[in-house]
Amino acid sequence: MTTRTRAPITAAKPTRFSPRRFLALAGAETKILLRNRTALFVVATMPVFMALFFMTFTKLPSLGMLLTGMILGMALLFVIYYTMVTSLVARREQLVLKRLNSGEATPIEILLAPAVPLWVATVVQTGLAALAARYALDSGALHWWALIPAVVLGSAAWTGLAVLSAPLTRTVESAQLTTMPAILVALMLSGLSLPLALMPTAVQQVAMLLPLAPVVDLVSYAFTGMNLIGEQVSATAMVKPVVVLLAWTAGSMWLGMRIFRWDPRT
Amino acid sequence: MTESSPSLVRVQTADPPAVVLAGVRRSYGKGNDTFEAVRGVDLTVWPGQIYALLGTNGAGKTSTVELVEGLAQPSAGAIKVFGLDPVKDRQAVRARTGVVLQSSGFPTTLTVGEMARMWHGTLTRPRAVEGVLADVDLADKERVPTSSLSGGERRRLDIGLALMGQPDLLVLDEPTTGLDPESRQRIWRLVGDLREEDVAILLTTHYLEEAERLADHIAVMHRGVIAVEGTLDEIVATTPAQIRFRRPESLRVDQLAVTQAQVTHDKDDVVVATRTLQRTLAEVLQWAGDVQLASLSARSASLEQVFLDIADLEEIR
Repeated sequence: MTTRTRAPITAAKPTRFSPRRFLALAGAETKILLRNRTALFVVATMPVFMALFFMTFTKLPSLGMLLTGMILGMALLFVIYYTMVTSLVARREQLVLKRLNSGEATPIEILLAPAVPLWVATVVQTGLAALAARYALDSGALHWWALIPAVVLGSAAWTGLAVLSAPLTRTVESAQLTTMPAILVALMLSGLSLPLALMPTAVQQVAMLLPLAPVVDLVSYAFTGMNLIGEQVSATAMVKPVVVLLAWTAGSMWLGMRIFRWDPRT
Repeated sequence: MTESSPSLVRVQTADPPAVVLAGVRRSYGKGNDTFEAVRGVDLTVWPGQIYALLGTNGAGKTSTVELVEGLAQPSAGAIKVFGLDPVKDRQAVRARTGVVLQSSGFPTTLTVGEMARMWHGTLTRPRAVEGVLADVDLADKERVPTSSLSGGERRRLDIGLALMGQPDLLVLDEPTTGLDPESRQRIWRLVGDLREEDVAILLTTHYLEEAERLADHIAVMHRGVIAVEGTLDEIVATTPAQIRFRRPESLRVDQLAVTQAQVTHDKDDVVVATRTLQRTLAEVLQWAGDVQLASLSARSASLEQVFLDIADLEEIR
């Protein structure tokens, strides 16, 4: 062992979130994802194949909204939510999270780092879908800025839900069951599988308080200037979905962090 | 602690303690299912001291060190690490603490070098990755996935990560379990060097030899309490030495006159427990006279004997 001089600890106040620590963790997470060639292939090609499929349809102004909404919705549910839950559960059971939690990285840094490459994948997929809508389907966004809160806040809300679902999930296998309610409800009441306009008003109102419908609402506004129900609306109408997504993010992260388990459950 | 412990005398006059536990308790479960794993533990670890926590499985060692690591809150009592609460002041304490958990994992698709560099990026005052890997004899494994490491190599990586932050306190929970003798010796040298640098070290181990060789202060836990503690000499002094022999047919045990010793026998197997081994042995030999004592042995007390005696106890305190 070499003789060493102990470096002093700087007087800087300890922080609960350090970009340096977070980047170190997120960089390693990105390496892990980049080694999964199949996942990368799916991320990059799914919007392209979907766009090719949509090109066979009769050209409608809403095709861009449908393509982008579907790609973003699937990314939030499966690329972010389901992948995050299984990843956190697997790492908890393999004692990786406990190892990380014994060091200087804070819980929020440890839990959010695996989401970074998934966020990037979601941005890439949504971006490709939006470009395909514009150039392949002639159905580009009217208010492109609305895609930003849709992607950012949608990713944040579903990351929070993953942090909340992971401690409720005993094994990787059981993640298929514990994530199913959120995925099914979100799919049914988001306008992606069934038109919300066909549903009773009360159901529409409840749907707009769930974590996926506000995302699709923002995408709908971005491409058509209309809300999810099909009404022409102004930009101020997008405040409500933004607030709903912020509430889901804050609530699920707060509760998830409180109940999170770092020790294996099996 | 006695005057005969030079390292502790030195540190007690130099720095405040690194770790102080006072009346610490830790419970699991709720209501009728409550299990108290730690039942009022007091301990102090000083800079430059290696404090070994021994105990049987389930004695409460890991439950205790996890409290020091800030991984859990005590149900009662007070814990101070560098004068701070390890949970509330987590960041300040962690910046000065290195931890080797009893068992832990690594992301399987990262290489040793990538894992070490990731850890490096999270530390306040990290040492160079290459130096740390060399210290734990993993320099040639830098490009090897962590999933391909042997159990001993994984343990050495664990220890390397704990040392990377140049800790003032090192908490080692059974650090050499699963290591081959050569690796164990290497880790012992590393730990010994850290003591020379005034690092406080809290160590749990199943290996009594490890505690005997490394520790300045030893505590033996049993059923959530510290049953005995002190220097090795102090602990060994709590248990009498033993003289054993087989009783010759020509002699009667009740005629064996020994002072400050206790004689027990099971049929012809006689055990004399004594704190004055030399004098008692002389008395036994005088009693035997010219008669040959079969299977005669005289053994000083040992840490192993103390440990086994404590493990055999049904109730402590």
